[in-house]
Amino acid sequence: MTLRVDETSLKNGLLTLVVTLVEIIQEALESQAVRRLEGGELTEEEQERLGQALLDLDEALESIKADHGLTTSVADLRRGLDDVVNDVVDRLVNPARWADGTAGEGA
Amino acid sequence: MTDAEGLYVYAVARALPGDVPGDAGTGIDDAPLVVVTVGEGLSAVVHHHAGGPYTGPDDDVRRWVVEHSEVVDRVWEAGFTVLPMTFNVIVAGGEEQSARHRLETWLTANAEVLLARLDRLDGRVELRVEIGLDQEEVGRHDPRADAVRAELAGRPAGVQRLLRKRLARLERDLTDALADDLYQEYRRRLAKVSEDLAENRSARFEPGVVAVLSVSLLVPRDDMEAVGRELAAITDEQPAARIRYSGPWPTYSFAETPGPGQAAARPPADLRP
Repeated sequence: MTLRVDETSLKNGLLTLVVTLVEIIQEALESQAVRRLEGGELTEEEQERLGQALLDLDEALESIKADHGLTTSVADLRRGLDDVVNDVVDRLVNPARWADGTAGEGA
Repeated sequence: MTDAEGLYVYAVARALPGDVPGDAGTGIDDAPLVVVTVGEGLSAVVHHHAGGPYTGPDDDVRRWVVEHSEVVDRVWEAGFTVLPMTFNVIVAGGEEQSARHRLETWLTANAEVLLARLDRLDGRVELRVEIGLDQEEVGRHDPRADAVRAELAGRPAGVQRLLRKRLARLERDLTDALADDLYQEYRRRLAKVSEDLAENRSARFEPGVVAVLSVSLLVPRDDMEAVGRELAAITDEQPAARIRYSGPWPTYSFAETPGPGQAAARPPADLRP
């Protein structure tokens, strides 16, 4: 089988992956920042600096997505990843429902 | 006679009158539909199929699944109770027996079970209900959320960015807790207005809405209004509730039909009708 690679779609695919990963890392950073904020560990100045850095990142990500037409593909990839994670979490936190499902499938 | 050609099966119904009922149209990729009937009073709606299960790019699979379910819908809409088959159930033809013969043998051997299932589904429809909670609405009257909202006013942009995140997280936590509380209650209330209830795992709401439950209900056609009334009551008492309701559908989730041939793995949830 010949593997044909279209340069544009490869570039867009990679960029989608990178932007999605950066968004996920940004969310992890946000969670950390909020936790510290709630713990009273941040001075007003530190809060502003952190928040401003996040705002700059928001802007950069939006502009990359708009410039390369990636808004939809990033949203799709996020949704796909969310589904995988939700399914795993659902099985962990709702073992009863999971057991029902397995029994049903095995029947 | 031997015949290597297979039969792709859409649905089983009680003996159909000779031809494909009503305006059942054509099947996957415009394949002409055929009815296979056995003396026990059962029919299968099929098309002649050469080759193996349908596989290909997602877009093609999506189209095939839709075409499959449209056949089931049309037979059902013509007034026949159906046991829909999963996508890609194919009875293969063998050296010894033709596919038609194998299908007839399967229908005959399983007639009792299949007829009992058809009886159970007579006059019933499937309704799908998804209930979610709007997290902004849940947080609207919470004192902790009020406090964060008050803190937002007059702060510099960067701090606001962090506080908005904090508010969203708080609203999300409140909504998750409420969804856990309401899940059992809503499930019980919907079970009361239906004969059977199947959980679906595929509820997906817009951002800001937390899923509470996603179910298919087996309901006598004449009792559909009772489900509507229950959902209206939920909407009235819970302003954050976001309800999606669809149907009536053929009873896909309650057919429990074992396939007569080789069935490929079930398609992903979002491809299912």
